[in-house]
Formats: sequence, C-alpha cells, structure tokens
Amino acid sequence: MSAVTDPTALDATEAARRFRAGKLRAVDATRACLDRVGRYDGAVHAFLHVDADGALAAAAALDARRDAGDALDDAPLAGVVIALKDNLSTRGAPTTCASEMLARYVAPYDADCVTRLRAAGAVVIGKTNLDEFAMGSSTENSAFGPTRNPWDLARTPGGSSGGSAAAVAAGFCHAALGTDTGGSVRQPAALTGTVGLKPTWGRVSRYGLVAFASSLDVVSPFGRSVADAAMLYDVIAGPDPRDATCVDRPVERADLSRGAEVLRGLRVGVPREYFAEGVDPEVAASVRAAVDRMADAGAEVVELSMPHTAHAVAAYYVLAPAEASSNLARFDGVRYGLRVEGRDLRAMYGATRDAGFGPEVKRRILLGTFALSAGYAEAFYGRAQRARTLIARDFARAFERVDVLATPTSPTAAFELGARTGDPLAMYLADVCTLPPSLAGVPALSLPSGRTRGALPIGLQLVAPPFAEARLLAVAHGVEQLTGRLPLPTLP
Amino acid sequence: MAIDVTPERVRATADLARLDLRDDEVAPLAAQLQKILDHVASLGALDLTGVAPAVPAAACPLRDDVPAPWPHRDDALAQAPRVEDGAFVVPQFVAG
Repeated sequence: MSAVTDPTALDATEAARRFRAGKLRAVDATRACLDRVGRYDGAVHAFLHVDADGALAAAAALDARRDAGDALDDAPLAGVVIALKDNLSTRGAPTTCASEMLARYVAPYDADCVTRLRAAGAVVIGKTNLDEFAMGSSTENSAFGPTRNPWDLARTPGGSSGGSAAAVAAGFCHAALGTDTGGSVRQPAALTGTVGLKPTWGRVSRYGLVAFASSLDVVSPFGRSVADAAMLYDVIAGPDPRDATCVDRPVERADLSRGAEVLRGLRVGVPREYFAEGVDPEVAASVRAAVDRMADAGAEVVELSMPHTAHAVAAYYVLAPAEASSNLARFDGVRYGLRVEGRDLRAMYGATRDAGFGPEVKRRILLGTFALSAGYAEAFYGRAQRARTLIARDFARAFERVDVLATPTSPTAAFELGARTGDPLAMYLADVCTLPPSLAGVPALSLPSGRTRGALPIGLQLVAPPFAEARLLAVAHGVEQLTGRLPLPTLP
Repeated sequence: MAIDVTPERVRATADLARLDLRDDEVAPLAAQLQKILDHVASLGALDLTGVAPAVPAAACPLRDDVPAPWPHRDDALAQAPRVEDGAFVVPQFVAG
C-alpha cells in the first residue's frame, strides 16, 4: 500500500481496485476508518454502534484469503468499508431503529442486503443513526440524539438516513446503505454532498428491513461517487423469495465507460413544478446550471409539466402514516423490544407504546390510524391512493417524451439543527421533490450539482423509468464528469 | 374533508392505536394534526372521477405458503421481555 494515501480518502471503487491490485490491505482500510470514527464521530454522531472487533476480523479474513492466493472473484467489495442504517437487521448486533422501543434489540438474522454485502466482501464497521423508524427528514427524531452535517456541524445532514450520509461524507467509511421511503436517502445525499440511489420499488429485497411504509420502502446505497452507488446496487439488487414483492428479473449492470458521451442525444425533461415557490433560488440556479451543462454535452432539454406534483406531500403523508400505523402495531411489548408492565394486557400495550415511541412516530401512528378509521378511510386513505395514481401517471406520460428527468433533490441546502423541529408540516413540505418518484415507484438518484455561497452541497435529482437503473447510473456518471465531485469536508 | 381535530378525537384515535398518551401530549398533538390534516384536505380539490387506487392488492404477488424451520429459535425467544417454557408470557387478559 502506498504510504502517502489515506485509505479513508478513497471512494469505494478505488478501495476495491487497490485491494484487488494488492495495494491496500482490508485491515489497513478498516483500521483507518475506525481511527477516523474515533477521532471525529464524537462531533458528528453518525454511528449508534461501532463493531471494531467484528470489522477487523472480517477484514483479516479477506486479507488471509488473498495472501493464500484466492483471487476473491466472488467478492467485488473486498477492501470496501461500509456502514448500515440501524433499521437494517444485522445478526448478533443491535438494530435499534433509533427508538427506545428497540434500544436493547439484537436481530436474530441478517437482512438480505446485509447477507449480500457480506458475501461480496464488504466490511461492516457499524450501524448508523436515523430518524426514529426512518420517520423524519433531519435525523433529529433519533431517540439517541441528532447527527450533525460534516460540512457544518450546526446543521442537519438531512434524514432519515442522516447517519449513513454523514458517515460517507465524513470519510468514516467508503459507502453505506440507507433506506428511502419518501426521500430518506436522496435528501441526505444532497445535503452532505454524497451520491444516493433509490432503486425501483421491488428491485431490492426488503427482507430484514424494519418496515415503515411497505409500498414505498426501498433499501438504497450511498457512495462518494456514482460508480460507488452502482457497485453497491449491483450487489444488493435481485430477487429474494423471502420478499414476495421483490421482482424476479435480471439486474442490468450500468455501463459507465462512456463518461459524458452518454449525454449526447439524451432527452432530459425539466418539470417546471419542481422549480416552484419554496425552492431556494441558489438551489434552482445550481440545478439549472447542471442541466445547461448536460445540454452543452449534447443532451436535448425538454421543459414539461407534471401537474399533480403539488399533491404529493398530502398523498404521502396519508399513505405512509397509514402503512406505518399498521406496521408498527407489532411493537406491543410481547415478543421483542420494550415492555412496560400494566394491570392487564391492554394497559401493557398502551403503556409500552407510549414509553417506547417518540413524538414523530406517535404523530404518524395517529395520523395513519385516523386516515384508516371508520367513516374517514375513503375520504383520506382512498383519495390519497387515487392521487397516487395521478402522480404515477405524470411520470408515465413524461417518460413517453424524455429519457430522464432532472430536478432539485431538496428545495434548500442543509438547514440548521432545530430550525424545523417545532413545525412538522414545514419539515414534511421539504420532501416535495423526492416524494413524487417514491409514490410512482420509479428509480431516482441524487448527486452533487455544486455548492452554495456558504459552501454547502446542493443536490441534483435524476429520475428514470421503472427498472432503468442502468440508464440512470450511466447518465448520472456522465453528469458527474461535468459537475465534478466534492472533496471530503474539513473536520475540526 | 375539513376535520376538527379535538382533544377527544386525538384520544379516541390513540385508543384505536393502543397508545396511552399522557395528558400533556394531547393538546400539542391536536394542534399539529390539525395543521397536517388541513394540508391533506387539498386532495379534495382533485378530480378523481374514474381514477383507480394505486397498488391494488390484487397486483401484489404471493409466494407459496410453505412451512420452513426457523434457524435461530433461541435467539428470537431471547429478545422477549418474558418467556416461560419456550412461550411468550403476557398479563392475564381473560377473567380466571
């Protein structure tokens, strides 16, 4: 290994390449990441649990295999150090969902995505912070304290996968997994200057993901580059008989060899509703500038309308809480998690759930329960399901005319901690750009388009038709050649 | 779709959700839910005539229901707050 290269400064693609070339030992990469976590995570708080012994043992096993002459052809992620959002089940380690309800829960099995990553040679160094049960957009709803943005510690990294985003941005690991239900990977990617890919719903197994909203939840990778996101996607995508909604069709690998040339002749849709009131002018200008550069590289830019965009927040904040209210009924103090004793079974349920859930989770359970209750279900849940159809149709119609869509990922750059915690609706409205692709089930990716005058990252969202991840990744890689990648932020 | 979110409605909904709210939680939740549901009421402006609900249940595939052994039974039971003789224990819920 070259003595001058800090393994934490590498992206996942380069770490894997160096391992394969015999220039990076997995133990050295892992130790360097652990050292950096030790030095800086007190300030960032990306991790809820660090498994130093397990990570070093896994890394040593990889080095031993290679030393014994094994080419590790079945381990494309050997040399890559990753982190996992703490709502992904990991056998023998805590899976808390950042909730008091699961504070002492240890999962008895690995999620499918975790099994796949381990088999591919990734070294898991720990579990990252999130908004409780993935409900939030700032990681401030964690029962264990917020995560801070490595670019500005007074600001949020976004959420709900803020811990994974911050860990990748801070150089604590090369790549990470989050989960994206309404933008929970794309928005934190935008706010931390990383790349986040939400695959098509049904493309990645949800087995072992603690369910929030089952018709929307997607396990999604973070990387420092588009190639990193593609590398993790290739490993985690594919059928799993344990998740009946995970489709059985071949995973197409993205061809990243063409660089910006892939943009020549590409039809790029720019929906005007995504640049409406509420989008910070600096964000809009950065995204428009990225689109202009795509045009300069030969893309055909098509301005279009997606008329139901503005209804996505209302539809989502009925449907996701409705599903959450059902999914979170399992936390009853009987089989796992917290129990608060009561005089009878009903009292035990009520006391356990009051003590175990934080304010945002309670809000959403109540919202969802109300939206499904007798007399209101058709007016709320039923209407929201029909509105979801109209939003999905907007995408289907747009993709008759264009190959990809380009929008802002988040209406603003990273906001200050505490700025929106008193106003849940203001927090929800910030999801306006990421919710429509979630409701439509289509793949979407966020990559950096530039930075604000205050040097905060800005995210560009690219959206593609269902199962067109290979196209989405190739286009994003092309754009990345034009916009450049962000360096690691300087940590105090 | 205009809904008046009273403290009584919050308590009734919480009861359905088996969530025993503390007294000091109810009023703030009522105000927040009111604001959110007022926003959701904007869906009332959409013309949904002839529009089918998204993701109808019939489109969700089901795998064959085949019994399979659970490999980590002791690990699963180890997570339970109270276990006796390999079974989960709960407070009495029928009069004995």
